[in-house]
Amino acid sequence: MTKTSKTIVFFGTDDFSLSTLQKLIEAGYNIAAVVTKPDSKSGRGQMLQMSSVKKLAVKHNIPVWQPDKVADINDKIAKLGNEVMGILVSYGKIIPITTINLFNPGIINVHPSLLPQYRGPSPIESSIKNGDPQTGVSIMKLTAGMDSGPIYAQIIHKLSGNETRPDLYRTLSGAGAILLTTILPLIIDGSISPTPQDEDKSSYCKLLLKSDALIDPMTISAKQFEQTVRAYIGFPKTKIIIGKSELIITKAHISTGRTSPLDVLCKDKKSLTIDELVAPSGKTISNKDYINGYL
Amino acid sequence: MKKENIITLPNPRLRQRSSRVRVVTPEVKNIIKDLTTVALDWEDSRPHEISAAISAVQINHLDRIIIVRSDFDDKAVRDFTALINPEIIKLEGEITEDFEGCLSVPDVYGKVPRYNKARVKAMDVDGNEVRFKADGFLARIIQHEVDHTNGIVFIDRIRDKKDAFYKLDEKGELQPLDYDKDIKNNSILWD
Ligand SMILES: [Zn+2]
Repeated sequence: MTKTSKTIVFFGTDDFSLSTLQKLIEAGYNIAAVVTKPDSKSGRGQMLQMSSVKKLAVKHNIPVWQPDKVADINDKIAKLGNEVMGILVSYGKIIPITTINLFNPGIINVHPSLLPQYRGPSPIESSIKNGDPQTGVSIMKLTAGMDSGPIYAQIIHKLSGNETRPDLYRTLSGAGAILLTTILPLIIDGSISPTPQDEDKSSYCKLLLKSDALIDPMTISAKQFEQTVRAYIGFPKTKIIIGKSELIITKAHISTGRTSPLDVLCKDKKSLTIDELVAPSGKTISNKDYINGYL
Repeated sequence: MKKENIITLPNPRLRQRSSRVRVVTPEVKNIIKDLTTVALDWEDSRPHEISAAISAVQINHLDRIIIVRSDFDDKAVRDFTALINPEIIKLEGEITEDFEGCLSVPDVYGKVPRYNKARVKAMDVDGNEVRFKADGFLARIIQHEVDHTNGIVFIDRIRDKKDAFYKLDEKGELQPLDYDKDIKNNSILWD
């Protein structure tokens, strides 16, 4: 008897998924399609913007599917046969159960947290914002629940307390790609099976919005404020109102005394000293230049 | 031996019963060796498929001998287990549909209903009796191969099912076949 060989359908949109797709291509897996969100409009001329994931797929002649509704590709997936496995990294859409059920042994997901901690859309930001001593990456089997599927493997990453959101995205994206490609052959040949998550220890993180940027320093400690600055760099950013201006903080440290308007008093009576910021002009400038130029 | 030694439909031998093996003779061992070589030679010519198992009738020996891939998910694992006089003692579990192809039915795939559990009795290459329970895809493979030893080809199990026939295109994707045009009166498949 013959059967079709294992093929992979890769779901990914954000840059976080890029290193995994790259590693899968390098390892010679048969990738039947890359599913990514429809191209977004961006910039002044509203040009359609192609994601880096789509560019990589196109470069390697892999078909790209961009459904508005995920279930619209169910027919195409079914036609790939019974030996098709899904891999999902930072895709950005919920996968309906009818789609999940088309895959064998399922859809494997790379999630940047030590599940069951930080289920949901902002695990990387949450670990920095909460000043955690460590975080990591989990490889799990996708189920209908939010990041609640059983886990195949995890890797721990110690946090130094200095990392920013872009740093940790880069680090965990690389770690996730290596972990996944290491254990994928074991998942495919069935020699490891996933372990259910401990529901009692589960926690959730929220979808971050632009409106999360604005901080009232009197509601948090200087330490929490500094962690938030590092956690929110790039998006949603950390904003504060000083005088009549709204400033975006890009670098800060905790201090005790207050000697300038850029030493912000916090709830615990300690201060956050802003080292670098984006001024109302849109330029990133140092503490000193801001004080000389604006105040 | 090469993949060209595989007999394909409409060869009438594929619809004949094979005979029991009395003793594991050197000739039987040769057949097992040839089955392995042929299965791998065929696979090496097919980018999107795996040889999961083959029966002796498919290389023109009407003996009840089959070989089954040790790991039918991994092309890199190239060894097979031989089962002589394989018998299904019991079929259990539930009936599920999944895709099957056959070295003797080139390019046609079918969604075939099979039991997902089977108890199997056979003889190994040393002449010892072996009994085991097969689950999932392995249960399917064994049912497909034992059918061969009884002169049944997988398409015979779905003969009247209009939406069960597929073909594998050059990209490795299964495309439904037009039953009335391609299957129903196809003299290669049925005569
Ligand atoms: Zn066959």
